[in-house]
Amino acid sequence: MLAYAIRRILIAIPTLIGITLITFLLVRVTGDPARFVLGDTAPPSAIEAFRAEHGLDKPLPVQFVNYLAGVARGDLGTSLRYQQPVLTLFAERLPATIQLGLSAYILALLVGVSVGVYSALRAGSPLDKVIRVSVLFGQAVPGFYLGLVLIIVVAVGLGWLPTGGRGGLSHLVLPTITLASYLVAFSVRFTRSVMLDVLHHDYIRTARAKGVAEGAVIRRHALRNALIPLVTVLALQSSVVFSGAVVTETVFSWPGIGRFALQAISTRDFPVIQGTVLILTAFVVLVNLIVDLAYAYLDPRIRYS
Amino acid sequence: MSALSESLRAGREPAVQSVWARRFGVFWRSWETRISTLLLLVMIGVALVPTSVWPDTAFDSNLTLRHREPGLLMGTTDYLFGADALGRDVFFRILMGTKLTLLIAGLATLFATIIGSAAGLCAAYFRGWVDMVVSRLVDIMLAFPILLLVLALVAALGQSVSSVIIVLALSGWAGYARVIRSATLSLVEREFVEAARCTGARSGHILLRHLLPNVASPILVLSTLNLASFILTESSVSFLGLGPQPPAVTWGALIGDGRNYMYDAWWATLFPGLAIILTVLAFNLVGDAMRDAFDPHTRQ
Repeated sequence: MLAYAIRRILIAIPTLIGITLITFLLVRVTGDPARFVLGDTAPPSAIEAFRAEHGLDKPLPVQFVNYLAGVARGDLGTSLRYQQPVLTLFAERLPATIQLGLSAYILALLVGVSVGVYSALRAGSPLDKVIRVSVLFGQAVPGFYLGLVLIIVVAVGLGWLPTGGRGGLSHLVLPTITLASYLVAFSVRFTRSVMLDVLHHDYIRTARAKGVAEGAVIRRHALRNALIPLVTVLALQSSVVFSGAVVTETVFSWPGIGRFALQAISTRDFPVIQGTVLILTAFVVLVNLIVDLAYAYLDPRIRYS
Repeated sequence: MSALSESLRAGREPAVQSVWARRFGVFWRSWETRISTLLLLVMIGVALVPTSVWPDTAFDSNLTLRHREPGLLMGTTDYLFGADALGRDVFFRILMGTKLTLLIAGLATLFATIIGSAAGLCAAYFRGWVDMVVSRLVDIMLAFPILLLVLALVAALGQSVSSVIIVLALSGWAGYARVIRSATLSLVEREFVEAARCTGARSGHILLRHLLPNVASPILVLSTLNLASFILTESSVSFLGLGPQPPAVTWGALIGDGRNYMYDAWWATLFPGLAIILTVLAFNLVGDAMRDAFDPHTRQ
């Protein structure tokens, strides 16, 4: 286990450096950040001053080393728009995104497991067909569109819930449904197929044969084996959730990281673009690493393959 | 087996079915796939219609018709899906938007397929440092929140059709590389590859003539599903206002335009979204059916 863990962690290090390099190049290779921020009509003196102020007048390798050194110290630069450290601005908006993301995950797990298990147990029934069609739609609906439809129908038409902003529980409902739509469809589909697979195993037949009640067979024997892969694949979707958060937070004016990143892109606030993409991607790598390690710990067969 | 023995007993030649006939039989068996295929063919037909053919009501603003209600609700066929904030016909704007929406997703898928398949084939064939580099790059690309990466790159490269295509291709190739690499890994060890090597075939020849045809079916399935996900990503980018700029029209941009007036004129937001859902759904269904068709374990 230790050898496997060390190997996995060693592989993650070049990945993280590669991500830092790509985010660094993201705003440099595609154009001069000074022109990008100040515009084409800016006088040469202003461009020079901007370059000197942000260390852009140095050769690229030097800039990258400086950037890496800054990242290692936790210094991701200063926002051009807010004149505050990127990390501070990021930390202020993080709780809102975590709240939204976790609610989406909880919804996906609850609906995914209950509906997925039902659909597997009643495979072929009319309700199972309805569920499968809904799953197909859930995977085809763009998040922003679902959000807008929910705002028009539930918030404006019926007046049941607020149209946006962050506040009490009522503010959380529509953004959570919007962000979770893909995850819910995904986990229903996944649970259904895993359950269908598990239910054909010998130990399920054995459990039934020895007289275990059907509910206990499902809960204690079948579901338990289906839950581990479900939690794993859901955790591996974190980068999809961040992409979804950009759209969901924008549609619902939710004051989180996704909306913040989009505003930075629109206002050409390059230290913020660089910093948020870097932190989110590094987070995804770490989550995937933890999932891999946990999975290897729980299932010894993985370590040897 | 039973069909074979039956026909032998009856003294007939056993009916030999070609692989492709079997695959098509599996593909075409469900009505969802048939409807989806027809829908996509119609969409492609609409996309091929020259822009000049669409009526002027799709382009010219006419403020007297601002937010005209859909003809659908009033039982008339003119302005079937209503008019937008500038009085333009939403129905024809959706038809017009088909061209760019499909073109962007299609070309980006083509480029992503070429880059990803080449990377996956080379990684599995050459192993060593090539595999090392490709696999790390794939890990890195798959960790990025794709939409964020696409938005940042499009903003930097300029909001044009070509930059959206390039950025989608650059951000979407990694999925192919991973699948094609693992599909190729098991092929590289097979005898026909060794035989080709023994006859003195060069690497390029083995890659293109021996390995590529054997991974063609996963490539085809992935491309179909990928078209669906590129349509979704492009529509998000256009909706957020960072896609190709007007007069370019994509479905996502139509929703983005309609959003500002959605309390007064929901139809300008609702109908373009239905076009996206139906198209993505159709591509997903066709992709799934193709996967079943190429899977030798699927029963006919």
